[in-house]
Amino acid sequence: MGIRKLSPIARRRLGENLEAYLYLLPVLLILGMFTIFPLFRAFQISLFRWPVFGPKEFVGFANYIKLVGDREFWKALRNTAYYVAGSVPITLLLAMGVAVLLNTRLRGRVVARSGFFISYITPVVAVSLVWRWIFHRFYGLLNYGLEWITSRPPLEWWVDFSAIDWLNEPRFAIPALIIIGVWQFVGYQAIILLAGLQNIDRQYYEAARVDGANAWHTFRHITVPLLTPQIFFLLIISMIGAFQLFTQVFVLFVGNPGPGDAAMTIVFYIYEKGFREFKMGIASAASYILFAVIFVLTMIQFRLSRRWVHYGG
Amino acid sequence: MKRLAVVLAVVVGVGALGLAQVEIEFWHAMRGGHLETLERITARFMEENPDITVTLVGKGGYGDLNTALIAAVAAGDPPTMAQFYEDWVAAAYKDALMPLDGLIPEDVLADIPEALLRTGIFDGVLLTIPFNKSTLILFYNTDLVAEPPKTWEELLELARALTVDEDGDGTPDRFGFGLRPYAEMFTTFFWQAGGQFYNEDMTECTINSEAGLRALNFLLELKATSLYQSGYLSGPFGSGLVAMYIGSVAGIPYVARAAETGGVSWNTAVLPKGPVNNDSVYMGTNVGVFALGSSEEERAAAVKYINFLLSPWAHLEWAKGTGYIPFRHSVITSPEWQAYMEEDPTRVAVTEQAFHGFGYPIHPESYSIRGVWGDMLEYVLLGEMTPEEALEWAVEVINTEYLGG
Amino acid sequence: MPANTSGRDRRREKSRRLRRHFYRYYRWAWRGVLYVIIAASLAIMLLPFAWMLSTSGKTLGEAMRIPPVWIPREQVKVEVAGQQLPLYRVELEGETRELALLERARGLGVFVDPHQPEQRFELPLEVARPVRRIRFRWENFVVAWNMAPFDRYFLNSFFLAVTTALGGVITSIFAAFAFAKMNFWGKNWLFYLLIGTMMIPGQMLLVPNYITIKQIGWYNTYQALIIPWIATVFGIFLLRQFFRTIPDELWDSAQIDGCSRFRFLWQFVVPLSRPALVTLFLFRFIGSWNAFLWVLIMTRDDALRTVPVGLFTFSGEAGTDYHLLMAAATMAMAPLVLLFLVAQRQFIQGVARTGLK
Repeated sequence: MGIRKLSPIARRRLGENLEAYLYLLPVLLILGMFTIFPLFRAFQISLFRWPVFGPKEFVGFANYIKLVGDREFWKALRNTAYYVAGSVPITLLLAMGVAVLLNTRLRGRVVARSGFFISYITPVVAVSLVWRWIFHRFYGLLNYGLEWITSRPPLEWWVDFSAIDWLNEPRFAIPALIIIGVWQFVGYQAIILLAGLQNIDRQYYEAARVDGANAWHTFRHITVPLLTPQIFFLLIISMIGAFQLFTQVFVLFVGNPGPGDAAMTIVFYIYEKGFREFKMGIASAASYILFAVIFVLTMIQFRLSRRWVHYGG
Repeated sequence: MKRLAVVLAVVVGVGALGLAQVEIEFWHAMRGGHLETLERITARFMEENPDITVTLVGKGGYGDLNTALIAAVAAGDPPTMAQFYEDWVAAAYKDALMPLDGLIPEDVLADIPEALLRTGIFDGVLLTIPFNKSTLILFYNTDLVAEPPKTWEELLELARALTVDEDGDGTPDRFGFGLRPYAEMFTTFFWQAGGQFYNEDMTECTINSEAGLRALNFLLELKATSLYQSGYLSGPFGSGLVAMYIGSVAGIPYVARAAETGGVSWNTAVLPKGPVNNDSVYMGTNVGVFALGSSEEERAAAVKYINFLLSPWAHLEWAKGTGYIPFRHSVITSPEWQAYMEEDPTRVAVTEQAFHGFGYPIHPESYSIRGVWGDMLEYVLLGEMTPEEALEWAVEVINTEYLGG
Repeated sequence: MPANTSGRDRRREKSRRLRRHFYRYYRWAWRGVLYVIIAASLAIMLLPFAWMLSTSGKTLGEAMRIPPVWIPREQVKVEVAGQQLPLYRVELEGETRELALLERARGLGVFVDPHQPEQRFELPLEVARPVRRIRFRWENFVVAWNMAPFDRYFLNSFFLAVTTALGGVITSIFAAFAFAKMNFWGKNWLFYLLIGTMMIPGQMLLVPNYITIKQIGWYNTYQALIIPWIATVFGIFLLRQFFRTIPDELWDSAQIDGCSRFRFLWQFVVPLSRPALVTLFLFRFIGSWNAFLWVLIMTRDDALRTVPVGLFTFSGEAGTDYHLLMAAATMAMAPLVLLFLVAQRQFIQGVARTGLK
């Protein structure tokens, strides 16, 4: 039975398969070589005791077992989860607000959009230095502002505010990072949402106006549903990114994982184990546990998405 | 005749090949002014050795440098030489470095403080040579402090006297001392109290001793009268917020400029003496040569370069240009250095302290162990553990997790 | 008006007019509130950036000062008898005067009146306050620029960013189209695998990739800085979400007209997705521009390095040259801001989708 004997439908399907893979070829080649192959190498390393120089010893899943028993590893996971739970929803909600605000025909919206986006473009090393000052216990702007707000009615009767030592007290480490994270990514997420808003067929709005819908109604029943593809995208991307929080911690706390290790995130733990303690095997294993956690959560998101994401196609 | 010409040409050609260029790569983490000084010194070396080319390759900061080294060694192709922290060598690169025994002149080795030299010896083999070293030093505000404190007690007294709360709002307007919690603060004061870090064969950490308690209690008392923060203290000091602090000599340029703006007059002093001594822990990196990934000529050239770095002219230029400590006795007694100390009085204490230093014994797990010491110090200073509890905790963790107890 | 307009009708007319006025007023107020909200949020968002700019003009001492300084200043100097002397403000016999400091010794200063240099006053230094004027130190930018080969770095950054972004957009268009609009064997598995590649921290891939790069001889070359970054799962995912919102009917009718998939992709899908493509280009450009560790590890020559590597020059072992770093960071950001503004044009002019025929 040769190809010539295939039915037209089967032939078309084969053609489609081939064409699809042709389109995917460059991406598959590059990702295969520089991401997927190293991924397997990293997994391989996780099964070894892997000193930088010298004989490597196969230890099976010993690294993984060791990690499960490591208190610091769990602390890192907890800290990271705390950060994810805080930064992802807050950033997304604010970004939605910003995107809608900036989509209206107001004067100077180009400037306004740029203003929100600047936070994302600013080099991390410069940003963190600025934040170190803003979070300063005595002279930081944040405490100054909070002091000002809580010393005026009505808050002055409910809240008794004393200067928060954001950077030296363990319980404020993750909140501080969440604040920075939100600040940095609101603009970035808003831009993607704006692209999504731009993408919405005018027809829908016109139809809504004809039906006499007001702004909030339009927003809830037209805009949001049609934005769900981008919202979903941002949810996934920001969750994956938040789980990998590292650079900001590193720069904000000058190479340390925060006061009392309060800002020790999973990737920081991985970096420490791999590049400071030279325990590549453990670092790799930890990476894979992280991978598994993120993967499971992401798959759940994908499953759930069938219910609430409308592609309006 | 023609044949003679050909033979001559061949001979000359072969001779020229003998003068062939050897290129060595030096991976470093120097930036800005320090890099300029290094480039200047290297240029002079290359002038004096036209057959050697030294390529200085910057690989970011120390963290990035280490990442690059890990990748390079894993690929089997490391550079000819690089900067190293002792714990990196002990943990990873020990077997990949070329022994330097017998390659450095004896008189040079004798000229370096023994404690410093020992930081480059691993399992009895000399693997790295000190390069950009620093110590802790006492910074003090000369408008507020007439005589720098000479002992722990004096320091504490002075710090208390200088902490003032003028407007009575509960927060001092000026702190007598500035305290930054990091392991070096503990190790230095512990050593000054006569402490021993490990037992003979390094199977036990022995910081839970009288010395440990004294050091931690002293730091606790100091904290009560200090500005306590995890950031550098050069800023607050230069603004007059802090009257004294103990920090690395590498911070001197920053203090200088902060103080200039803040209108603060200042100077350095050797560390106050504890129960036993006033040594400071040695910090900074050494240089070493990789035994793999390079040819014999390249390694020989690297050794030549290292010896040049240690030579009087280069060592003087380096210490002067960068502010790292001079550690050759013959250099600090030279007239050039004496003149330099007169020009810049802050150098006097730095020079003296350079010869009162120590290095704690290095173990392959030293990075983690040092981390535990740092955490322990933080727990004590934050009031989460008493000194006794913290020392017991630290020893417990170190012995079981890192020393394979 | 018809003769039998009742009072009720007239009242209804009035209330309708009032309601119209109310709505106009309402919309005005609503706009006002919007502006205030945006302005306030912008102020918060831009605060760190404002601090960056302000610090670019300070001296290092001012940058490190506590309490922090917003406006960079310098002490005024006056010329007195051929010398430049610093000016101070002093209380003298009940009136405030400005005097220049001639010399100082042991807490006392010898001051002179700039207008009458023969008059000298000996006063304790503590009562003298320096006279300052605002001075933004533009030279910081020059000094910062010269501290590293930024001209080369900017060139490299620009070249690398444009090529990686363009390459990324093109490959993502193809791949996203396949995932969004085509059916093929292993489609879902492949997509999840690709998403999965984003879940491993980059550091773990660094060492294996270094070995690969070395083995294929790409160490210290431009290829190493471009090729691995041309494929982007972020881009594929982003565009897939957009492409999926394009109605299948469009393809059906195009297909009936004999259009090939390839033509459909480039003639219909791409133009309709302009905002998404511009966004993707922007993000890939920024990502490439700000890449640091990869560039550092994979190159050894300054001739190949990029702006972030240059920014690192200002962070020292025991502190940072904040003022120079901020100046350099401002310069490093400038092209990105420009690019964003250009992209915004594209956005706002973006095709308003008006539906299908």
